[in-house]
Amino acid sequence: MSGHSVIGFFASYDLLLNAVKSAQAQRCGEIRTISPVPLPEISELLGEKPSPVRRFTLAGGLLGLTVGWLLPIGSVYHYPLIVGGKPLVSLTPFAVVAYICTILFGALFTVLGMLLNARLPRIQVGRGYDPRLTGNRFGLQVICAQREVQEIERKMLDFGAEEVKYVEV
Amino acid sequence: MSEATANLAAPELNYTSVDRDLVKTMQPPRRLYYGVLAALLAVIALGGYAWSVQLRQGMGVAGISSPVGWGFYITTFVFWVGIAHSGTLISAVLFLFRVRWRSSIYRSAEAVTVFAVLTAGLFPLIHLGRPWVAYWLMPYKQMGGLFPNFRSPLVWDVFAVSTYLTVSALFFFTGMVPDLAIVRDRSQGWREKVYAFLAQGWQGTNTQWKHYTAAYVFLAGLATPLVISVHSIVSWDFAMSLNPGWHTAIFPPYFVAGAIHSGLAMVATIVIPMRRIFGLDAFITREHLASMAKFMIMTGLILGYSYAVEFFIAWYSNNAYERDLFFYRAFGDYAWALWLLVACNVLAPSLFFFERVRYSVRWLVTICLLVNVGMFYERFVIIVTSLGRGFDPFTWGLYVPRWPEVAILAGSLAWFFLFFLLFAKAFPVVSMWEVKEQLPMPGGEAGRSAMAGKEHP
Repeated sequence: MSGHSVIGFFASYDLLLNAVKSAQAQRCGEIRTISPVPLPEISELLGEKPSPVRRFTLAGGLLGLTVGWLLPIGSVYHYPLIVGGKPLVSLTPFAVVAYICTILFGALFTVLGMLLNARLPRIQVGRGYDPRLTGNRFGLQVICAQREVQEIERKMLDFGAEEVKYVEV
Repeated sequence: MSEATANLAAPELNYTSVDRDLVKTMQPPRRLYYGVLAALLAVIALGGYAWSVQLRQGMGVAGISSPVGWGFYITTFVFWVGIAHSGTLISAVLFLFRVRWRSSIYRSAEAVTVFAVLTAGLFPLIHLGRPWVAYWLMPYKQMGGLFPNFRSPLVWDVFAVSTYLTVSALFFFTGMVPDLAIVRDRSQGWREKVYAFLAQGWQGTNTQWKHYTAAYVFLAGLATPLVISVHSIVSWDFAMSLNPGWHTAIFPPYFVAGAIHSGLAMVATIVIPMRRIFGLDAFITREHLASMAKFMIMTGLILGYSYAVEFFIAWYSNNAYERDLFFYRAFGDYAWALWLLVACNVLAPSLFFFERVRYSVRWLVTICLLVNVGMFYERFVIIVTSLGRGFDPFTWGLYVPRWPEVAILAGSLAWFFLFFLLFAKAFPVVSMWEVKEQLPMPGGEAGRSAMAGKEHP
């Protein structure tokens, strides 16, 4: 399903911040920002929920902990061989393997969580993306109905955008 | 360090100049670059030839033999694993503590980590003698249903080092994604296609940043315990055995401190010429270098304390074997190596107490090179003296490296620097987005940076 959006380019962070506040107050539509650096203040303003990546990290860590215990314990039961007079299930040395697997799986799942939630990797950047937005400009994208496009464009200019662009999404 | 001195960047930097200056470092290289590349390839070829001689003629061509079965190869393995610690320390630990001076040097430090682990990984294979059976160390059901012995520190090593490589590489690449998007947006032709592929469609939307920064914090949190655990596990290769001089509980913290010490020295050894060649004085200021020097004072003092405690324990334990071994280390056949390492690792970095030395690039390079040498010999002394001077005097012996070992050591250095040379031309050597994060935002309130806001939810 295709939609409509307007992207405003702002030369300063303060203008972007005010634009986001105004766009929210005027219920302009779904808002997202594009910026060269993370902007936690904007995320707070938009009322974003915390990233679920932490749940992926926890799940990966727990899976790694389980695998890290099961692998050495399973292996010694699979082929019971006493080494150096130590018990078959030697918890202290096996804890080292479990510890490392916890970190390994936790890290792998963290990256997986980031990729899934941030919708990455993508073959191409989204429509309307502008290289200036990884440089020194801040973008405000408002997703709206077709009939609202002109009005949003006008508002963006009122908010202080130096340029506005219509983009189909 | 005060906030004033912690300020990372020169005042003339802004978002535009950061992109311009750092993308410029990736321009096609000059003739000198290719000359250095050719020299490194020649040294790698020499190392490769030496290894081929060893494979064809057997381990007898190396100096390792009974009683010193671990010589240059294991020394070099431990040396490179130690070097690898700087990256994770600077990128992860200092990130979690919000140390501002890390942002300009952490990318290079992470590269040092990844390339050092890749280099370290070669040495167990070379030391094996029969590298084609290296897969026997992998945790799978082998001949007759037997798995590797999970109680062995050597198997822990496989887990620790391979996990360290994986997590470091993930952290390294993840940290680079927004910068790859910047490079993509400023490239043309095939380069644009390559960087577009590597940037994975990054745009910098608020949603992407939210998940990205969350993942970055968790990766840093996961990498931090690795700084402690990897070299602790490497130290257990020694400490879990019963050899005099090895079977001691001080090894893990002592090895970790040594690893950070050598890693910082290697990062400085690489970053200082890079700063000069690429003209990055505005990004990597003398404050950054002095901050690293201060850190090395601390790690050098920890090492000096560890060396002293080792000798104290040997004396205080009243154990004849320990006492004899440490007397031998200080006054025996390899005493020169012990005093060299004390001078290089403890005395030389203590010169950083003087502000003039700390802020002098020449002094910094010289001392860091000395620390690199000293840390190699620290591992050499630990390995060779303990193996050559065991419990039974009838088995005592000496170790002298032979040419294949020296050639392979030289080859490993060239291998490491080759990776870095290629990296320096293919990727941004300083993190653009993190440097920008600390600069005043375009058109914003004076001095206000993105860092001034709260953390991402």
